[in-house]
Parts: sequence; C-alpha cells; structure tokens
Amino acid sequence: MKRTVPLLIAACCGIVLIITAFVPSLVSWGETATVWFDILAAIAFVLGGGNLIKIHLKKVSDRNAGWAYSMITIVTFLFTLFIGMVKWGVPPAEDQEYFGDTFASVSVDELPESLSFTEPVKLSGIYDRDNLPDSVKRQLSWEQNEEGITSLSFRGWMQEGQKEELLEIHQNLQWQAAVELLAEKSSVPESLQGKIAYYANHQAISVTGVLTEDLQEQLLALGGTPAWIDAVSMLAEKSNQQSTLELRDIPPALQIPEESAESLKLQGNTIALTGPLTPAMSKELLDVFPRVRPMSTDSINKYVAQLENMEGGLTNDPDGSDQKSVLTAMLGMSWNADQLIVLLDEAGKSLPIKKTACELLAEKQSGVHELKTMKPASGPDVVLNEEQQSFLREKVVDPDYNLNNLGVDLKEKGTWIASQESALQKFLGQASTIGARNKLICLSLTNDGGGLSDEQFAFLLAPYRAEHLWNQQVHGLLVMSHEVKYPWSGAYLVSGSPFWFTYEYAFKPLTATMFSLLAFYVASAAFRAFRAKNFEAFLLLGTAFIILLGRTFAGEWLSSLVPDYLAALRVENITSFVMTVVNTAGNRAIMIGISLGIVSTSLKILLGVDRTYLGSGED
Amino acid sequence: MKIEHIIWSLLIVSATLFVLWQTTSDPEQLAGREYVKQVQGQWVPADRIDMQAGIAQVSTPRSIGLWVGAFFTLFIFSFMYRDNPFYKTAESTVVGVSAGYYMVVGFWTTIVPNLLGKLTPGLMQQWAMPGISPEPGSGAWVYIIPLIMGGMLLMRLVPRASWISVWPLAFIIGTTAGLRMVAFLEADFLSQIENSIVPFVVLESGNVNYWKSFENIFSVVSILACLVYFFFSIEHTGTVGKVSKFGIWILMITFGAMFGMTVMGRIALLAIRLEFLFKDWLNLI
Amino acid sequence: MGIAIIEKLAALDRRWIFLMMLLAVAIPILLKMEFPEKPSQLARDVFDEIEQLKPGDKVLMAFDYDPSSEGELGPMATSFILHCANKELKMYFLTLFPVGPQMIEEGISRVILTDFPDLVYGEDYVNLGYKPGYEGVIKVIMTDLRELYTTDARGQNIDQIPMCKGVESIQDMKLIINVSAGYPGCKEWVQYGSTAYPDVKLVAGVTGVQAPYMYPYVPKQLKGLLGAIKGAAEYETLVNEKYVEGKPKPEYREGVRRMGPQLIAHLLMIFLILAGNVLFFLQKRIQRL
Repeated sequence: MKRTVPLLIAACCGIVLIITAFVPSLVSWGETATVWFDILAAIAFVLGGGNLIKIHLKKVSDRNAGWAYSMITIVTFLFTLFIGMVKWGVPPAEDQEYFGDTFASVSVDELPESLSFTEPVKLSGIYDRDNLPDSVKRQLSWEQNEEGITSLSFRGWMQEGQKEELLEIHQNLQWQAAVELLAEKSSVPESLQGKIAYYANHQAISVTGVLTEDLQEQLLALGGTPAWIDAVSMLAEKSNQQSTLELRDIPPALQIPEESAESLKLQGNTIALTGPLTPAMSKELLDVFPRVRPMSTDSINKYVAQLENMEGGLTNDPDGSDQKSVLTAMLGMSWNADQLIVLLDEAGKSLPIKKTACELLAEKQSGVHELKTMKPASGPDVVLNEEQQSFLREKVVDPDYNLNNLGVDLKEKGTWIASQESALQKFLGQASTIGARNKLICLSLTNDGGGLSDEQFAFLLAPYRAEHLWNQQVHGLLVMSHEVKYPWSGAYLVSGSPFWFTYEYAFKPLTATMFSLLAFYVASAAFRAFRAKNFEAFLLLGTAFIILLGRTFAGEWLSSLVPDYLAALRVENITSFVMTVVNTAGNRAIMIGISLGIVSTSLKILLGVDRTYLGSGED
Repeated sequence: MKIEHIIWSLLIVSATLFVLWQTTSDPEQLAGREYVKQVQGQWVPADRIDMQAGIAQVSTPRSIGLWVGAFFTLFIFSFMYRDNPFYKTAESTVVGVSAGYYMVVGFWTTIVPNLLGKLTPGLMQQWAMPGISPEPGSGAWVYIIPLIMGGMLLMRLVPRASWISVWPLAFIIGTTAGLRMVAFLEADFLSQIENSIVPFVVLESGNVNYWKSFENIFSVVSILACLVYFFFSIEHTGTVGKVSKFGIWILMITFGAMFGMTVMGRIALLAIRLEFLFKDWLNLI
Repeated sequence: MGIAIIEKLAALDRRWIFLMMLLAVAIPILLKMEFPEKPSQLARDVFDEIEQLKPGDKVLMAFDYDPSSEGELGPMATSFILHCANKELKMYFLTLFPVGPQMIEEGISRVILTDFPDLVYGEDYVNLGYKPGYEGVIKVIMTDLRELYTTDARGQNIDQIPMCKGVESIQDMKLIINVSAGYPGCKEWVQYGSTAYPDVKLVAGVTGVQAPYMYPYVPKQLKGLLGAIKGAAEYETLVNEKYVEGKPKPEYREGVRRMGPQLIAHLLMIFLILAGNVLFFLQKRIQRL
C-alpha cells in the first residue's frame, strides 16, 4: 500500500493531464489538477521553511561548528515570517475601506420585512441556483413549480453591479426582463438614494456621510427587527462623531462647499467635521488650486522673461543646454480651445439609446421578428455656434476670466445642454494644476545638466509646495474621520512596512550581490580553464570572442574598418549569423534530443517503471 | 602575514574615512541618505525637485536601511578575498530571510485566496479579503483534497510519518510528468521539426536569394549532423563519423555562443550592484 | 628569468583577476562611459510587435524575474512599460517568481506613477501578482484566468476590477510580453502559451544565459527576442527615440548606461582568455625543452 497508492496517484494524474490535452471538453479536469498543484507548491514553501528550522535548530542544539550562524538564520527567518504573516505596519487596503461610508452590521435575515421585494414572473426553462453570481446568492430567492419560476424575491436593496451581473448570466429576454422589473422594485427609495445602501457581502447597512435625523426616521419607518433598530441607532451614533484638525497654510481660495456646510465648519485655523469625510467632499476641498489653461504668446513670453531676469538666468544655447526654448515649449503645451470645442461638440451629440429587456420583450411579444437593440437618437445633435466658438476662443486665453463661468456664459449665447456642461467640468477638472506643471518644468530644465537658482526654484515650486501640503492635510482629515473596517486587508508587500524593509534592505541587496559574484568567477575561469587544446576548443573560444565583441560597441567600431564589399565579414554580421543560424541549429538539435528524453522519462514515471521518487521506502 | 594585516587595515580605514567624508560633505546632501515625502498618507521616495520644494525629508529608517544594504553588499563582496565571518553572517541572513519571505508569499498569494478562501470564504472575507464573496462556491468542498494533501506533505517533517508525504509527492510528480510530456512533445519536438522544414531555394520577387538559401541549407544540414552525433546506437566511423564530426563543430560553436552570452549576463549583474554602491549609497555619479 | 615570470603569471592568484574584473566594471560606471546603440533585427521585431497594437488593446506583462537578475532585465521591464503606457495599452501584470510582485510594483512606480499619473489602477493597469504553480499556472490561465487569480496582488476581488471584466483567459490578450530570468519563464510561456495556442503572440526579453536556448523558437513560437543587457539597450534606444522628447531620464537609459562597463569587461574577458592561452602554450613549450 505504501508503494502502490503513490504509483497509482502519479499514473492517474499524469494520464488525466495527457488526456485533457487531446479532449477539450475535459479541460476543467486538467485545470483542477493544476490548481491543486499550485496549492501544493505554496505548501512546499512552508515545508521548506520547516525543514530549514529543523536543520538549524539541530545544529544549534548540538553546538556544531558555526552554530551561531545557524542562530542568525533562525532569527532572521522567524522575524521575516512574523512580520509578513501578521502584516505588521501594513495599512488597510484603501479601495476596500469605503471611505466616507459608515457601516453597521445587520444580516440579510435581520432586515425588516418591508425590504423583501417580490416580483411575480413566469419563467419557463431550467434555472440553477448554483449558477447565480456570488454577489446575490444571499439575497435572491425564487418560487418554482413544474412550469418554471413563478416569482423572484430579493431581500434588501439591489445594487447596480448586482443587477448587471444578474442580467449577464442568462442571455434570454424573459429572464432579463424579470430582473429589470425586480431591480426596479428593489431599488433604494428616492429620498435615500446616494445616501443609504445595503451590502449583503459585508452584512452591513451603510450611510454616506452623516445619518441625519430625517434619514434615521425614514429608516426606522421601514419597520423592523430589533437588530435593524440597533443598527440604525448605531449608524446614527457612529456617523455623527466629531473630529477637529488644526490646519496650516490654508489655501486662499478655500471655500467650504454649500452641500457640506452642515458637517464641515472652518473657524480660524481649525476645521471641525461631523461624521466621515466623503470622497466627494475631499475632492471639493482639494480642488482649490488654479489649473493649467492655454496661455497667449504674450503671457508665455512674459513668464519666460520673469524667470530669466531672476538670479541665475536661463541658458539659451541652440546646440547645448537651452532652458529658454524648453520652458517656452512647456508653457505652450497645454490644452487649447480647439480641443475643447471638439470635445463639447462630441458631448452634444445625441446618441442612440439601448433598449431595456422589458421593451425588447414587449416588442417580441407583439410580433416583431427582427429585434433591434438600439432606439434611435431622441433629438438633433447640439454643436457650438459661431458666436459660442469665438467667445470660447477668446476667453480661454484671457487670464482674468474664470473658466468655471464658461458654461453659464455659453448658455446665453446659444444652445447648451447638460451633457455638455458635465463634459466641460470633467475636462477642466482633468487639467493638471499649476504646481504639477511647474514640477515638470523644473525637472525638464534641470535634466540636461542645467541648473536653476534658489530664487527660480522658489518661484516655480511655491504652488507645488502649497498643493502638496494641502493634499497631505486633507488626506489626514480623511483618515482621521474614518473608522477602519478591515484592518487586515492591506497587501503584504506594501511599500514602507517592516516586511518591505526586510525585502528592500536585506533580501534584495543580498540575493542580487550573491549572483553578481558569478561575474568574478567567470573571469577567473576564462583565465584558467579555457584552453584551445584542439580544433573543437578553438571553435568554442573563437565563437565566444566574436560574441563578446559583436554584442558591444567594440564590434561596431571594428566593423567600421571593414570595407563595404566585405560587409558579410563585419563582426555584427558574423555575430548575427552565429546566433541565428549556427546557434539555432545546434540548440534545436539539443532541444529535440532533450524533448525525447523528457517524454520517455515522463512515460516511465507514469507507467511505474521509474520509481526513484518513492525513495528507498525505509524511512 | 603581518604586512597583509597592515595593508588591509589601512585600506579599510581609508575607505571608512572616504565614506564618512563623502556622506558629510556631499554638496547635494544625497550620499548615505534617503529622502521621502508623504503622498496620500504613504511615504514614498522623494526626488531632487521635492527637495528643492522643501517637501522632502530625510527618512531615518530608510537611511539606516540603505547603510545596512550597502554593508550587506560589501560583506558578500568580501568573500572574493577569502571566507570570513562577515560573509558568513550575510549568507546566514540571506538563507533565513528568503525562506521566511517565500513562506509569507506562499501564504498570502495562494494559501489564503486559493485554498482557505474557497473552503471558508466567510471567514476569509471578514478577516483578510473583504472583496470576495462570503458564499461558498458550488463544489468548493473538493478543495479539502489539496488541504489534506498539503497536510500529508508537511508530514515529511515528522520522521515516523514521512512515508505519507510520498502520496502528495506522487501527485506533484505525476502532474508534472503529464504536463511536460505533452508540452515538450508539442513545442520542442514537433514544432522544432516543423520549424526546420524550410525552402532550400529562397525566391524573392523571382530572383534567387543566394544568402538566404545558403543559410537554410546550412541550418538543416547542421541540425541533421548534430542529430547524427547524438545517435549513439551506430558506430561513428566512415561517413557517419565525418558527419558527426561536423555536428560536433556546430555544437562547439553553439557552446561558444552560449558562453559569450552567459558572460554578458553575469557582468550586468555586477554592474547594478556597483551602481547601487556608487549612486544610491555614496552619490558619486 | 623569463621562465620564472611565465610560471608566476600562470599561477597568478585569482584575486588579482577578481580585482581586474571589479575595476573593469567600476571605472566605466564612475566615468559614465556610454556608447551609441544600433538596434538589431530581433529587437526591432519586438518593438514592431508592440507598435502595431492599437490603443486599448490588452497585453499581458509576465515579469518572471527577481532582484538577482534585475541588472539585465530591469531595463527591459522599464522600457516595456514605457512603451505600452505610451501606446495606451491595457497592462495586466503577473509573475511566476515569488519576488516578482515587487519587481512589478517597482516598475509601476518607476514609470507609471511618475510619468503617467493619469493612468488608473484597475482601469489601465493591474497587478495580478504571483502564483507558485510554475508552468501549471500558465496551463490554467490560458483557459481560465479566474480559476487561479481570484484577487489581484493587493487582495482586491478580480470581479471588482473594471479592466478584468470580460477577460476570461490569457487568450483574450493581444500580446504576451515576457521578461524572463529562467525557470519558470520564457520557455514555459512558449510551451504552454504560444505553442499550445498559436493565436497567442509572444515576445520576450531574457537573460544572456537563456537567450541562446530561445533562438530555435524564433519566429514562429516567439515573435521577438531581447537577449541580455545588449537587447535591453537596443530596445530601450528604439523606445526612447520614438517616445521620449529630448534626453531621456537616467531611469530610461539604464540599458545603454550598462553597456559601458559591459564593453570594458568584455575586452577584459578576451584579454584573459588570450593571456591564459598564451601562458598555456609557453608553459607547454618550456616543458618540452
């Protein structure tokens, strides 16, 4: 049994994998075996660590020669293992933390009855619960009789992502229409939209920002279990916590946005915040610095002259360092009016709309044979008129004009629709800030060995510094007002953690240097061992010479001495011939030989002829 | 022996003095230091513009790390002279750290998401992977098999029960054999034969490309000659002997090319370590 | 007298040779020696293969290397990312080396975070991280990515990552770009990837040690190949010429920069082989006398 079972295991696994290579429908068997293989490979690392400890502990306990080094190995091993396993100093993963949201746990079963939504449907055919997306398994249920599904039920509010996943799993109109109806029914009521959500995977109800008394009442009015009531009051309590932060260097343009005036109060240098800082609020707070906008030639020249007149000046040598041209070019490299016009016209286009599954189903039932999935565009395209265009062209380069008013002003001069406005705001918000641009300018001006004086640096980098400090403070506020939900969710290798330190300052230099020692040994071997004792050895050395020369500039330099009619004898051409023809031929022959060897070894293992891996069977 | 000691002492003292002098007097204030800035709450390396802007600061832990890394590098290089306690310390450290590192990697990249995450998704979701679904997938129970096999594999550490570890080992070996047999047959045997079937006369817009034709003929002949050399069941005499001799020549040229390329690789590995010492640590270039 | 010198030289302590090697590499680095590069056909093939992709195409960046071969492969990885970011390709990083995730993160921060801050993680690039199953990993993800990769390297569920929606397997990639330091690496990608699925295109950058073994796969199973630091320097030159205005940053010139010490060290190697042989033959002649 000790020997037969492993032989059988090896034979079965191998043969299954070979068969799956020829029978595509069995591919999942091969996948399963390989996934297990992957898991065992990971466990082999544990085995490796265990073995290491075992050997070195023995050395230490026997006080063998060099036991102190074994001690070092054990200590460094345990230390690395510990800090890596407990994720010491690893912050939680930011994208898993739902910043701005407060969670209170309530399971699907504890939701109030009014959050059960049922849609009577008539779905014939076979639907398997196992095929449902994981994200809805807890919430979706159905009733079934012999003809098919008669009703779909959903606990809690359905999210857009869940709806999409449900729509995707069955590509038939009946199902998709039913899902649409159910999603409609189980959507968050309008008065709570964007504020309240239910996450079944996290077993939590969540509020974005502060749970106001009004919202609290609405939630309680949904009725409910004690757990629900507890959760709601927990939400109210947690999302109303106060935090204050002493600010410094507040940007002059800072204004508390109206929507957040309730929860965010600035008094002198102190900011007081109720509840968590939401990503939207943080975005508003951060967006207080001027952004890059097109500059007229005059203003570019003025800016360049200003910098040139400072201590240090600017170099202007067309053949060498030319800071002046670089600066001029970089200042000119912003977006321009034409780009914006194209974008706004694009946004004004009236596009065909995708029909819902319900609409398609209704059409089908009414006897339409060729279903079209798109509805024609609802209205004509909106493009900027002449007046709007010239106004836009004039104003974008006018440094005194506030670009945020552009939408309002364009509306006065012609048609202007909401999609254009949002495209405009998105476009303006994407432009880089002056600070970010100035940093790039500094990098470019100093890249080619050119320098800048302290005065010039200070002038260019003041906005960058201000932005950086402000970003840091706003992020501080975000973190301060946030309650960590999943402290262990961060990545084990995140930069700055102790585990990363071990990697960066021990593992990396040590392993890399270990391997670099080979360069020395290869040199020593070249001097001692490579002797052209016969023709074959001579061929080997001669080829090595050619490769060593041909793969550096030395080969090219030597080749430049070879006349054109002997081009084939140029070192790089010989190198290329050796590598692509001779080396390919030689290696191909070796490859064919090895592959036959591997095939026969594999067969021997699978057929149980080769049993060396079983060991002697005595230990 | 004494002279050697004196020379080495002098060398080490002067190198230490140079390093200290370079660290303290570096006009750019970069030698021996690492600068960081805070972005989104995380400390990231700062560049020279950040230093000019005054938002960078010297990071003490990272600077210490830099020195540790530099000394580890020098410890390993010291082996070139002779084996010594510094080298041994570095060597023991690398063994310990890498074993620990691999174990951590194996745990967080596979054991947690691919094994525990399948068997107990609810627990994993609450603990380490909030993104996954807490619902067990259909057929997740089969993951109990690799779990048991993993346990059996670890039995290798227990001398009395180590025979049981042969079972998962057999699984590993069987799987590898099955995977490799097909892959080598397809990619290294059949495809290589296919790749070798090339036209002996290469026509380019009606004209014979003599060079290309020669290359093709040469390469096919070479491959056949090498294969003849590998064919040990016939005696290498007469024509066969001559052909196999040519095969040996081709193989020798191949080995020469391999040697040249290997040398090339090794030197680049040394270059990056010296760049670390000269640039990152001492800011000499 | 002459005989004594020959004997002495032939028995030269290897530490002198070590010292020569150290100087041959150190001095060019300190003097910042650089030489021009002329791209070879294989490097051009790699470049063209990426060049013909369209913005938004998906590419798999399989970075199978670790710090011990970073000297050769780091510059290739940097240029590959720079090229793909400029081409606006969707980059899916993964690795079969345990320390690979760090290499990927370093590449991302060196190129994307500094010069392409607009690229969004999860939309334009994603780090799927490491799996320990050697060639088995390739075998599985060629048909089903999610079977092994349920999360990315940062622990996020793969289904929540926008750019992973609709990606069933590696066959959905327009190109596989492999940077390989050995086993598992380029050979396995050829065997289980481009050979088993001929529609999948593969280009690779490999170490000097591996390069000769990969030539037989070119061009059918492997569309282009960069070998050792020379290949890195050639490809880097091609990318910089097309996409970088003015003089590239030092981070984008690592390959070319490392060719300086390479040249001097190669000359030293040639000298050492010649010297070894001359001494050998002189010794033989002495023995005969």
